[in-house]
Amino acid sequence: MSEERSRMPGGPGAEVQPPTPARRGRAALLLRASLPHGGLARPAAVTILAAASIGGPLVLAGSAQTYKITEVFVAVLFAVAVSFVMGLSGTPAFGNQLFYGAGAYLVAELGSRYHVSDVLIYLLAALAAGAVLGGVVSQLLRWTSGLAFGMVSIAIGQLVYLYVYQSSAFGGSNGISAIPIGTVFGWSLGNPSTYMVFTWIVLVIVIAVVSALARSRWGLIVRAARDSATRAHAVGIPVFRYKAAAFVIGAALSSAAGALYAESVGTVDPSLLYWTAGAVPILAGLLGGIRTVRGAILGALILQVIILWVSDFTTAWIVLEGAVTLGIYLLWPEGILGEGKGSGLGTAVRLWKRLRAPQPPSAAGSPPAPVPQQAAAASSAQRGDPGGRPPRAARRGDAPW
Amino acid sequence: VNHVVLPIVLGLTEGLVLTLIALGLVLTYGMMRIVNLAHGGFFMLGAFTLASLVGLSWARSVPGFIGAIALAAALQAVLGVILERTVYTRMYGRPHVSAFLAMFALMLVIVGVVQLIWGINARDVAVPSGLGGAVTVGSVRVPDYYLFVIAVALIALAITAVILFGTQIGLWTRAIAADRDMAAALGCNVRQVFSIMFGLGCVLAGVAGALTAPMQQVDSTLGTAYIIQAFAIVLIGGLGSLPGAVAAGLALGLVDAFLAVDYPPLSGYGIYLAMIVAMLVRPQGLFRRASSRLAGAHE
Repeated sequence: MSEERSRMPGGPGAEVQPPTPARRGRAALLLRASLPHGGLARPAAVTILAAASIGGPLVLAGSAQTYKITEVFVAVLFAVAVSFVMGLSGTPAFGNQLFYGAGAYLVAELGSRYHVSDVLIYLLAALAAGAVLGGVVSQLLRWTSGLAFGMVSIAIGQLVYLYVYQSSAFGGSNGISAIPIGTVFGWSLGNPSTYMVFTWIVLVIVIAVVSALARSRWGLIVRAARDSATRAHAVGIPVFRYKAAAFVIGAALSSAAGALYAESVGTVDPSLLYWTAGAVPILAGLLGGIRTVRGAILGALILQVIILWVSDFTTAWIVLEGAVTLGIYLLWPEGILGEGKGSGLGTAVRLWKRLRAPQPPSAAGSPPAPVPQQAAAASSAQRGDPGGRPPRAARRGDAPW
Repeated sequence: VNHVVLPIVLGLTEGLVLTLIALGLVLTYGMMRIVNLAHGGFFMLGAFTLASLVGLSWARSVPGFIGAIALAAALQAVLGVILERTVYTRMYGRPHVSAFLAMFALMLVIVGVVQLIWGINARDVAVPSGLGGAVTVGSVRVPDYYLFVIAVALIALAITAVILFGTQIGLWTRAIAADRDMAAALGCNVRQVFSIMFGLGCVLAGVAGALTAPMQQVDSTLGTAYIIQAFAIVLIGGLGSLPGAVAAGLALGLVDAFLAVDYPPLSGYGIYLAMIVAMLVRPQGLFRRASSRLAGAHE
């Protein structure tokens, strides 16, 4: 943090006024641009990961694994959407299966009743429907927050579940089948491998957009509102509006994930809307680190491997799913790839530093250890974390997490 | 008479079962400040344990059945204390939301274990031989078993009340709920009281599960289905309030039963609607001022 402060543009006069979010964001960008590897290492890593994420599945394309891989992509998308809300804005989105199910049922209705088969139309309709529904539910954030909001969203989700379960228009407990094979501009997505690639493209776009949003000035403001609603309010941030906006985006993306799911499976049923369905993506976030996009991706991957592949070998997969998540939570409350000391990544960084640190001062003449604060700021900047982070103690006190 | 007697019996049955589960949630929240989502797991294990015990010949008579309920509940106490000492003790003091989710993970573990032991097929549990009949009130036949459930649940509630309000451990419990540090300073062994009360909550959940088994299909979705309704009751009654949980449990059970008899399409909705209203009307009150309201001690 101190390093960033010293590099801030402006003369001595600039130090008098505290940095506004805009200036902070710009300062962080300048800082990152000026670092030697900040500019190259990250895009390179992202490119390699993206190539691997489609290269591996393409090797398996055409086999029985294709469907499962598509399902993994959808689950990752859902987890990214949910942790975007929960991690970035701190709103407990326990009821996002409502939007996921809404997207899925929308596709089922469009496909089976109106014979629409264009997947892009599905996606746009699902995004719109998710945003509208999310806009309605987010109004509750005016009156509640924290766990209370989480409970209300579970209750709303259960009301919708009960309704859909009993209504004939949505097929009752059987749900709706006979969703037509999707097309894009008339191109058929009937080949499972083609559809797999399509979901991958959607996923990559969403991850890129969500990461950019989280890093943007807007994202920093939402984080500020998350870390201390009172302080954010005091500096003039309309907390409700930002939190609601984050919630709406998460709802729209959840709905899109539901749409992709319905098209890949071909049927929908009310279990998509049951409250436990909304907990799965959150568990993914808890496992991987809900405050970061990378964490949500990793968590969803681990859980999906357990759900889709380990379940072939053993009936104990549910135990494994719960135990892995619980164990990681007890070990690292921030998840494997989360932010800060309480994450696996934080532990790894600390160990790495201890290994590379010079020997303790008993050995005469060894250079002094680096000031911890600077080291932390440098490492956070290297990991592409703009604006630094407030000290841990300050975050603990206010954050709902 | 049809439209009054039956809903009252059904409502009391359902309401008391949910109240028993809810009391465990209230105890754990009031003392340890954790929202124990995995509590439904103990309920489910109680139901499955009873389902297995009823397979034995001795448990088919009424006294044997009562013994089976006690055994199922006692097993939950043992399991609960073990989990409290190993897992829950690491959760205390963690942020509510993430701890809540970790409880869901624990619930998954319990569901998985249940599926491993008892398989994924639903089980039907027979009502014990002496309770298969029905009492006729006017033109309505009220099954004996429902009256049995009401009686057992009321006894369990009464015993809980005696423990909490008439014993030293109950006094400590209320003291910890009001001010944990002060209670510790006055010589209360907080760790021990935590374990005992956690065990008590698990016993209540086990009793509720065992009582429910003959009325429901017993399968591994039982826990998630009931826990969310028990949550609704706890939230409506005021999180941390024992009298509130009892009142809300009975009220919602009755409302739902009247809806189910008189207007079936709306059955099931009442509990969630009431939950939403409760959270909107008293959003912070439900989660902040919980300590002083445990057992209504300071009102």
